[in-house]
Amino acid sequence: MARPSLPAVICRDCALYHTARVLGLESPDCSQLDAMVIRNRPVARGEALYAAGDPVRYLYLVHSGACILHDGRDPQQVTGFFLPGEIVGFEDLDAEIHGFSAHALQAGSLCLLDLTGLDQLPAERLIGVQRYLLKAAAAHARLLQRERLITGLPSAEQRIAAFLLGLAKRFQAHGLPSNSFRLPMSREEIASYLGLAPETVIRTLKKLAGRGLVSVRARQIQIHDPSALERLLAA
Amino acid sequence: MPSNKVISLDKIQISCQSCGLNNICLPLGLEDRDIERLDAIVQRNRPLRRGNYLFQTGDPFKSVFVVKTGTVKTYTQCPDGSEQVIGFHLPGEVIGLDGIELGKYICSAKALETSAICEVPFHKLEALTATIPNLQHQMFRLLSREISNDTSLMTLLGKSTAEERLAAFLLSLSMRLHSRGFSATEFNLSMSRQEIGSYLGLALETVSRLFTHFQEEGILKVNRKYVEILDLERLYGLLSHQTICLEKLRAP
Repeated sequence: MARPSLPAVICRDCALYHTARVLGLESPDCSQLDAMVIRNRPVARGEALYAAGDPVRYLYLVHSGACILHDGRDPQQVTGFFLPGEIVGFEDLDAEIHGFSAHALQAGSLCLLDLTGLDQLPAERLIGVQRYLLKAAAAHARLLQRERLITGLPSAEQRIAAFLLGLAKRFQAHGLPSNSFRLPMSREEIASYLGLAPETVIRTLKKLAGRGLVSVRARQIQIHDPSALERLLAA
Repeated sequence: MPSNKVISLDKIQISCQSCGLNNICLPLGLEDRDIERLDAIVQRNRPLRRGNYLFQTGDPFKSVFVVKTGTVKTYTQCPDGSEQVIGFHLPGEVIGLDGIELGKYICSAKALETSAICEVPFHKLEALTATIPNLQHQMFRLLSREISNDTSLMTLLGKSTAEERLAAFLLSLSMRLHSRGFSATEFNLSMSRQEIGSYLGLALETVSRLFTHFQEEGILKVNRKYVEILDLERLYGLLSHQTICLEKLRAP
């Protein structure tokens, strides 16, 4: 049983596991994928996955913990968060070097898929892997599209509500508790991502808590009334 | 003026082999022989008129589409029922690929002006990828680029001033048109001020005010939809140095 503070996806729910299957390697521990996959590599809090300017080589699947993406030109600007079951690195795949930088927000573990290894695969297997990665990329595009709607919302209250609901949905999509979770990111990081002032984020969370929609204790969030939050968005 | 409202049928029926867009579209990186096979499955339908749909959110995912001429807008609905513009797609840009995950389209696509479209039925495309691995690789690249653009856009929306957003938008259009052989400094905006506002997270009045402001500053000449960039340097200068990776904003 994973510690509640560190939710982890089970391998069966993991994109790389399915990649392993299409590769024809049924073994659930992915051990035969050694050439292409680095499995369950531990990362420390704050550790860099890649920095802007690094060559593009891996896709990183978050097994446990969470990651954060920053704009390469402006290290203060947060452009994305990645939760267990999600893949980091799609945004730079059409380039040779990374334009963004990614870090672990907390201690956790990652599985790495070495893209340079793809070329060595026989064509019939390559097709399967690429097909799977294509779907995973499409899933990420869809996530970005949903996140995009958040920044379009007019009020801070709506953005925060949508942000929390978005996290809940993403946890739920990978079989993790979705009504009670720990925010892997700081208030400042949320503020940067949503284009709000940090004080506004703090004040708005208090306001939502005051109305009984959520409970907030440090980074622990409990959503009491998801449908009331949804209604806020449509107001 | 670069935009030509009359579309000749000959131009639409042009094959992938001789299409000027084949260096940014699906055929990129394919052998001539494979481009021919791709060409054989492309359907070149009658042009869409302004306001016609390519597909709507939730429609079954059957084809990917490439803009041949014209402009297509993709959008979704906000929780409050208003429209959120996702993107504006210029010639050579592929639309609908992100429907592959769920087997249905995740946004709606509508022509902003008379537009010729190449339709590629997905089951045929998929059959082709079995023997042309590069084709699938190119689809993956196109999707990655979309992700890259959307991630950059989150940066732009996360912090930039209204002025920077509109400057970045105009520069992105300018570069994309230029890379397709059109003028980088004179073009027709096929989208309304309202749609630009939706895309950039700005109010309609702000967009209109900024166009006027840019014009007063001598940066632009604007006449309704027609835009002439008089001072490209100053438009670049409006972007705060670290704001955005502009090369990232540039779709294919």
